[in-house]
Amino acid sequence: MVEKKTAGHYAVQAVFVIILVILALSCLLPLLYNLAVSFSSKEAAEAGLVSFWPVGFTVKAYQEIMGESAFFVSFFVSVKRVVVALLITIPTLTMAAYPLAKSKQEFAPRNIILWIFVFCMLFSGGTIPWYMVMKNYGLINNILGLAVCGGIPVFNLILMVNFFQDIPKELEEAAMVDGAGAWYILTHIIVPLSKPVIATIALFTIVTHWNDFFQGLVLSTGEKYYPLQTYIKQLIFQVDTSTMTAEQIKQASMMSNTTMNAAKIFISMIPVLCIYPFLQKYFVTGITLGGVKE
Amino acid sequence: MGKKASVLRSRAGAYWIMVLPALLWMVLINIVPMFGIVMAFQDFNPGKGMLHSKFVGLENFEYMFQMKDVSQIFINTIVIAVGKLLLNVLVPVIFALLLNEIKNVFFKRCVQTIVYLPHFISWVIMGGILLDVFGLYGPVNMVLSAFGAERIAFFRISSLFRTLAIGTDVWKEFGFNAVVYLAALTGISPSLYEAAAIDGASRWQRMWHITLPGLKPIIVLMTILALGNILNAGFDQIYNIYNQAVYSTGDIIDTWVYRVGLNDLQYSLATAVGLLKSVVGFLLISLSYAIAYKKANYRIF
Amino acid sequence: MQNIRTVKNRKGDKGSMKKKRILSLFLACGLTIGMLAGCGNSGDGAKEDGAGVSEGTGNAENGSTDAGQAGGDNLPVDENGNPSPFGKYAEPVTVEIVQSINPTITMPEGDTATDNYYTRFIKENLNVDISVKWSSASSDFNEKMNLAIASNDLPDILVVNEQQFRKLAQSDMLEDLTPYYDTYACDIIKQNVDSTGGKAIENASYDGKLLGLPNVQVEADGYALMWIRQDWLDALNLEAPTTIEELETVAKAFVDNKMGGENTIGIVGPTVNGKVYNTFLSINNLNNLDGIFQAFQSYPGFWIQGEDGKVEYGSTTAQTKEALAELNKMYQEGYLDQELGVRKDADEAWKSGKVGILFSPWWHGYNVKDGIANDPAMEWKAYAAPLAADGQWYPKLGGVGGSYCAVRKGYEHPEVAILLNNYLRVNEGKFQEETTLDAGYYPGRVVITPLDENSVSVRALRAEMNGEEVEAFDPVNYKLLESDLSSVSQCLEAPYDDMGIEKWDVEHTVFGRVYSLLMGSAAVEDAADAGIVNKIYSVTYTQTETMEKKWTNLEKKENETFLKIIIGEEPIDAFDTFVEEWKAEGGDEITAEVQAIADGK
Repeated sequence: MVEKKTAGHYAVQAVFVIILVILALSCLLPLLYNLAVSFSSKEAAEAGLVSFWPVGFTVKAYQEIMGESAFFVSFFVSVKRVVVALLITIPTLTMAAYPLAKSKQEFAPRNIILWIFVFCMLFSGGTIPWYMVMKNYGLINNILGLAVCGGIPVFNLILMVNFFQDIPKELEEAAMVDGAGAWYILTHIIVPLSKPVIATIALFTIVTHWNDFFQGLVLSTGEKYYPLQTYIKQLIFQVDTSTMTAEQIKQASMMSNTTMNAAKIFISMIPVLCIYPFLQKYFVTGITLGGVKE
Repeated sequence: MGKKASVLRSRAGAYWIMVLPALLWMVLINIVPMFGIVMAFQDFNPGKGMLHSKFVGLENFEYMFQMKDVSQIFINTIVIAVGKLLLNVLVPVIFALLLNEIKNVFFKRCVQTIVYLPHFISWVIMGGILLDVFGLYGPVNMVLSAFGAERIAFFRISSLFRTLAIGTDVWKEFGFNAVVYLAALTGISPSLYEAAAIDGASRWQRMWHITLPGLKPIIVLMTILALGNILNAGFDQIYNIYNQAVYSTGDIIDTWVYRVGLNDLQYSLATAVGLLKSVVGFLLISLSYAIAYKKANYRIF
Repeated sequence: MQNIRTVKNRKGDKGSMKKKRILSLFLACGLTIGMLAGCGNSGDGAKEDGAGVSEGTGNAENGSTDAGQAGGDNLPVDENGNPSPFGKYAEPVTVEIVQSINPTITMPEGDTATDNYYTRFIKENLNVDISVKWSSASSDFNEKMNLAIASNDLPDILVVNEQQFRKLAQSDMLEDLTPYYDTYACDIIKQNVDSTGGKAIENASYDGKLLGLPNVQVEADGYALMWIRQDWLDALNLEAPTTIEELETVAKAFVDNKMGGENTIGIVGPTVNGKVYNTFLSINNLNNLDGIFQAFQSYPGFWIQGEDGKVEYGSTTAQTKEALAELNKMYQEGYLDQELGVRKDADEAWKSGKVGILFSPWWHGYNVKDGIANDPAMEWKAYAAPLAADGQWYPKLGGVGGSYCAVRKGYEHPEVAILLNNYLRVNEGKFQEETTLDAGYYPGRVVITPLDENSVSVRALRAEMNGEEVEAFDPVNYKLLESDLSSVSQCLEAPYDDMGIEKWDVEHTVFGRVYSLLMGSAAVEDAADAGIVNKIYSVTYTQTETMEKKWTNLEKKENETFLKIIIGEEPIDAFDTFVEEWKAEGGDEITAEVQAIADGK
């Protein structure tokens, strides 16, 4: 590294570090608070007596959530959902992005197709027809249903198209001259260079499917088909008294559980917590220009 | 020539096959349910279904627009959405740039992971936390009173509400939003940095002449795609932090529709509003794409 | 060269034209599938009638004829073969239901959602098979139900809230129960329903037809009592306040003496976005300020019919302006919740011991133990207070119910809905003894109770505690009373003249109910005995036609203005502006409609 490191440089570096540390702390504090609440007694939590350390330490909330076998059933539903979603999304998007990244000369309908995708990203008939259609396809209580029900992730697709467009044409052309077909180029040239974008899309896919609770609720007829977030959400009674009957409100009042809420967040966050560092190592400089002149 | 033509044809054929699964997915799950858009033009009666409900033309839209404070709601929505749009690009980019200057991989990874976590806390929880933090006896007010200033019920003040809404959303999402930019940064060839360093370029010059231009395409892309959401000011957030005292600056289209729906299950209205949002968003994206193309000869996708 | 290029181009053009056509064909197919999918599904609800493309009228005719025919063949009959409220079907009947369950409560051994004590009981006694279409937690139930309604995908029998019921009725999706109610409703249910003076039936009817079995809730649920920290009163040597002036003094004393620590709250307000007072559409709001409004004979949110027969909207009266001014004064002087409107959680506030006074229904006692866990000295007592200037108490009361058991149009055995509830109503006591399975699992259950259940309980309990004879009561009608009577001794130390908090076993499972009865309901009972209770009802608890268009905005204006007046952001005269605007923007129109309802009664 040929760089003169002046005192000014270090000062600026220090400022950067301080800013980043402050940002990181500001993001960490709510989580620590949450963690403390999750390990506190219900009464203390509901009285708002917890700050960053548990009051009345107890693992009861975790026991209640994870103690039922239903928790693990829905945990695995979510895992399966994520796996199937990845298996469907990544190849589909990668394959589609390749021709769509080409110019109109090379692949004539690319503009129309892309605009149709953008249209689909914005327009929707709403929850009701979507639900009816999913029912008619028989995709209720079904992992495949959960994996595809969100429709094609156009945002991710466009990201990929964009990244593919940045891959130098010379690499492809060189291969084409050598007689390589479209499939060969896709699998042997494009994909290896696309680790960052594939990792990004993998992250987004995992996060979207792991966090969803609404689709899981609507597309399942009962607890045993629920993905994890749907399962956990039902344990936490969120009191919206406006449309509840007196009977229901009575029930709600007696059931409200702040600590469970907090524990739930923690449990659901752990997988995504682990995924990101794992994927971060793919965020490396992917494009090598070895041998090809700009 | 014939051989090249057939090679091209088979390449085009391969391209079609590659695009096919995505198209199929789109047709089956995105396009087929679009028939539901007719509900926006009906007085939807679930018993009769979409084929037989009464057609009422633009009545649902009229209902929304003849409301006395419809302009207030639209202004709130747009101001908050635009504020979020701009800052949700600006802040993550700055963060990505800052992080890029750090060489210690472990520190980088730690910070990256920590700041993206608030994204995963739902607004139901985060709303409660924020109400506490900015509450009359919360940390912010404690600092204020330590300096002798009067305590403020932050979330009850209409003039502050939009700022709070935008600010807290940006804070919650910047880590996650930065992921795309961090990934894009890896696409900038290190040899460019090395060459610049050799030429004696300062950190700031490198940032301005190499990093930012390298990020430019993705920044423009994200901004334009975000325009599709111009009428989505963020129901989840607003619903969980607003209150009756800040309706004038905080009531957005979605919270209004929600309250209407509380009194009467309003399927048609919700569909109409959704359609409106889609149309406006689509127009904006097309417009900005056209402008970027005509003015800067820049194709976003 | 040129020729070849031209040829190639033309081919290319044709090629791309062809591809464009393929694409559009794709889309056209997609949309067509969509239309078919859409109409295919609307026919789903009536599977027994075959896949009908058009629902609505076609099905209606089918439905009633089928019901007539099927009913004719297979009715619930008693030993003599006569249709009876407790009859049994000769042939098995399947009923498809949906369940709203509490996932935190574990089911007893061997019971599942589809095969449990209740389903077995129903099979044995009615010859009815219960099939569960879907089940969800109670917090998610409304969402799923709304979607089911919208996609016309209903179970045979469904229990819905007011809003859903209206929608279903308007959309003609329910079976008419009028011909079945008289024959099949058992006497006790009829008795309870009739005790509402016809209101329950009225609410459950639409266009003259009874479309659902209404629930009848305990009248006690509606009264907003003043719950106050007795231990603080004792420490300060104060009496519980009965008037507004006394309330001011006491609340101020609480705050000045920092009874709950630095941030003592004299009178707490509702959780953020909670209503500051009950309205005709939303009557179960906790920790609201109705208690104070009432003391000025102000009933915001209610439609009040005066002595002269004229209907007024409570939020536009002069008394309401007075009440708002008072609340503003309380706020400025610091003992009304300073975080009014943005309080994260009112429950949190009182459970942590910061609150001196709150307004809540009788069952606040159920939650008291949570607060005691944090502060063992916490002692809450309830009073029917504050009283108006004339010494009377004017509690706002809600409607009689809010949930309905309805039958989807086209189902062949509508009477089942009524029979299920018959069996439940008379066997509730037995069920409690024989199983721990939550009553929420009982199919088609609507809660039907005697209006005066609580006051009967309180009188009986007091008699028991004084060693007097308990008035005779019908144990089937007053199903909880037996167990209430035996519960007292389990959680309260004898002799019962001292009911200070130290004398109670807070941890006992029956503590919540008994404490609530003896503190909360007893306060109402005492007020009734003193003859100071004036029940205030709203002329209507549902929306009129114009309301559907205009109410959201009128309400928004009301909520915003009132809150701002109380916290001092707007002057009290903003009230007058509000009333003017309210009347001009639809208020007058709507008042006329409500007047018509009142006149029609």
